[in-house]
Amino acid sequence: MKSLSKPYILLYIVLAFCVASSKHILIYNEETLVLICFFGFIFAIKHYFGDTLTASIQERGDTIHDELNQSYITQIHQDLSIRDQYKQIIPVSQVLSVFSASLVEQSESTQKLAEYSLKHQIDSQISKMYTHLYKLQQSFPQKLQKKIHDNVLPNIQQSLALNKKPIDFIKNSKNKLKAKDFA
Amino acid sequence: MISTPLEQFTISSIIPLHIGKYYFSFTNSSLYLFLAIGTAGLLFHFVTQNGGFLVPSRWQSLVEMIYEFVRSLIQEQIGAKGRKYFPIVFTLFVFLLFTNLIGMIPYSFTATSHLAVTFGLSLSLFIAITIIGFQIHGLHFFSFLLPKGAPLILAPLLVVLELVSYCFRAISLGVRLFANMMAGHTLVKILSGFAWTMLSVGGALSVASVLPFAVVFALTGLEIGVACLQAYVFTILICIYLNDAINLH
Repeated sequence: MKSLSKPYILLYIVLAFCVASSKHILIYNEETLVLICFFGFIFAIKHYFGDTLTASIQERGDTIHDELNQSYITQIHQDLSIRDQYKQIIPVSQVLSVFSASLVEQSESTQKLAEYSLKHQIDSQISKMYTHLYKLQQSFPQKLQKKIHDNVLPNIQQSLALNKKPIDFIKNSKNKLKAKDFA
Repeated sequence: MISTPLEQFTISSIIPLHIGKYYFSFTNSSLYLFLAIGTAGLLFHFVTQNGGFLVPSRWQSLVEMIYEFVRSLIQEQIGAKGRKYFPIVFTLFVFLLFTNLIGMIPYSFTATSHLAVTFGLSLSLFIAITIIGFQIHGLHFFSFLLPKGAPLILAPLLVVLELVSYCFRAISLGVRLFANMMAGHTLVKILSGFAWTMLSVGGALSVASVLPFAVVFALTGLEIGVACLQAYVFTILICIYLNDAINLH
């Protein structure tokens, strides 16, 4: 017995439906026909275009999946390259840290040396000044006495000879005592 | 007994409730409106549960495609200023799409085949868009009634025409959707009535009923397309009206 093909099956169903409707075996209203049309249309769309629609929606999901994968791979590669660069940088940073430590030590010692030399220089200057002032102090009375003998006494003697006030002669004298005379 | 093609649009009370002469009954229209909103809400809820999948599933892809479609629509029509209106436009589109598609199922009810629903929606959105226009531009919004480059001598006539045209937007928006839905369903009902009558008579006519049956089959596909298209048309017109209100000319 040959198996019936789909178009023939459909034809027999339609004919059976027509006969059953005309003989009032099947009782329905026009909305049932609309229902049959509706589900028939949905079935036809699913049968002929279902795979296409599913494939297009699936393709969208696959595209997003591939983009995500690519972004993860790119991110992993970037992280690995950063890690390799970090590994290269570590010895340099160690050398730099040692160098900076030695620089710090040198700068500290230089600073101490500079402070010491400055202090020593200031001390020597101050001591020189003190010595000079001491010598001045020591020599001052003798010099004053000598100057008074050289400059003031002649004026006093002259004033006494002329019967005038000694202070007037001292004021108008050309040989006045100055500070540079005691330098 | 043959029912009339317009019987499918009858509103019947499921839970009658009236206060005085006002009716607050829960009707079949309300039921199908809630069904549309509930279906859309459930779909979005289950798809976006726990934030959704990073690699979307098929349903999530479908929802994302609807989202991207509405977002690109707003971007093209209104631009960057329209982004804050995305929620209302998206809700409107999804609501109309699901209401229209659920109405396509036989033995159900198409809520948008009633002028009360479509006109209520279009009028309320029209009022909202006008308020937005006045909020942004103040009284300068009235400059929209005089097109750019129009001669001043024609201004009195043009302003009246533009005003009528502007006010008619609310009516045309609602009537367009209502008419498409009602006409489509009526036509399908009439042709299925033909097929049923021919099948009932019997003989050669019952075989010939394949013709109106095939037309109904094709019309079902057309009506599903029209259901999606009308949701799109309503939404894009709202975006255009919003653009006119926000950017004027």
